[in-house]
Amino acid sequence: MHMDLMEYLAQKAKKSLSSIVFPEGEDPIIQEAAVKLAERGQARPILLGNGELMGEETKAKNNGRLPLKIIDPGASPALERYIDQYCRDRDMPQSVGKRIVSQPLCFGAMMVKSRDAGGMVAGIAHPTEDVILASELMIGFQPGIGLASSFFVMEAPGFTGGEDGRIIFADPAVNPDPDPEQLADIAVSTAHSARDLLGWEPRVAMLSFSTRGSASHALVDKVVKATQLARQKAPDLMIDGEMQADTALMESVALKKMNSESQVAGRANILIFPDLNSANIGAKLVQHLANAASYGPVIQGFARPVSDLSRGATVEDVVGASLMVAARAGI
Amino acid sequence: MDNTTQVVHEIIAKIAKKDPAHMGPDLKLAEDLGMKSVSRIELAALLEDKLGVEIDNFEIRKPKTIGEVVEMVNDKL
Repeated sequence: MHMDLMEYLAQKAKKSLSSIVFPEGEDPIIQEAAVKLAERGQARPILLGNGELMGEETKAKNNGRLPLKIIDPGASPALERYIDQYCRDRDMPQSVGKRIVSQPLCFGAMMVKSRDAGGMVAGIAHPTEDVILASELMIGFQPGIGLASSFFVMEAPGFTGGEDGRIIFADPAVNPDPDPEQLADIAVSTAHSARDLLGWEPRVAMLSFSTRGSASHALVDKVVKATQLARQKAPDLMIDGEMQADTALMESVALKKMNSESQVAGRANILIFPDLNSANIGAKLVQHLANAASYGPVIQGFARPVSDLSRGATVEDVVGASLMVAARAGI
Repeated sequence: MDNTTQVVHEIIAKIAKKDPAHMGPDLKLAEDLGMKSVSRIELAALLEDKLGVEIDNFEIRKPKTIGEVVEMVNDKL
């Protein structure tokens, strides 16, 4: 039996005890999650916000034994330093730098860029796009990657393929209709995430309704092109396609349908869907028809880890998203 | 060209790294000027700084052309 995913991430987080910044630190759910993370020794949370508006309990804990900080961006001595750095990097006047960097999401992202925090968790009071834009502007992307994307880790009962029964789906939440270049970036980003977060050796299948030219269509051409580009970008990774989902997952089907050798077909642990429709629908179907647990969507592609929350996130959702960040943060 | 239009042109030209003289109302921010969505945060901050109009990060995603940015600013002045 393999360890529960959250338990694995919690253990990893405990080892690194990363500092995680929460730009929406005035939200009671965020505060409760931060206290839990600190109490369990899984992270060193930093709550951004006005200390006077924070809950009494959170404030009391902040003054006590827990590794939990509250920072008011407007009163922080780091603000000037962040503004200077931003204005230098982006060639902007100080007044504009102040307007932008004082926004909690941008301040949080700047803490991550400056290594004053290992990662950021946000989105309970902001749309995903705002979290992505602030992270893109301040933190930037991994080398060679030009966009943010997302993935789910899926665990379906009885499924023994993938990586010990777990499999990653991408991109179910961010890019509606990626072009071949973008799809290649999604594939490479997801492979990096699987390595960093889960310690897997990625085997990436580029999915289509065609296997090795069995069908001819512009939609197939897109996946073929994306596969070529992804291999060029990351020649060290095992990336193969185009292939159908059954070819990716089942060795017996892979043997029949693939006309040449593949390190991925039949044993893929990462499925790259051609667009947001297929990825999102695929994930929901597996979740509900196969009673699978799904973790995410986890945002990826940035130079440092960031997690997006849904507006309806619970305390445990926030803790889960934080563990995903903490396990990748390392500082 | 009125002053607001000129300032908007200068701001957009700065963000898009283009010549302000080549700005025009029908130019599309993304397709013609290559402005990425992330630049919208800076566009809003620069408009607020130079023209005193408050535009939040959601509103600033709406205009597609330079003309629509000028219109949005004029509505708020």
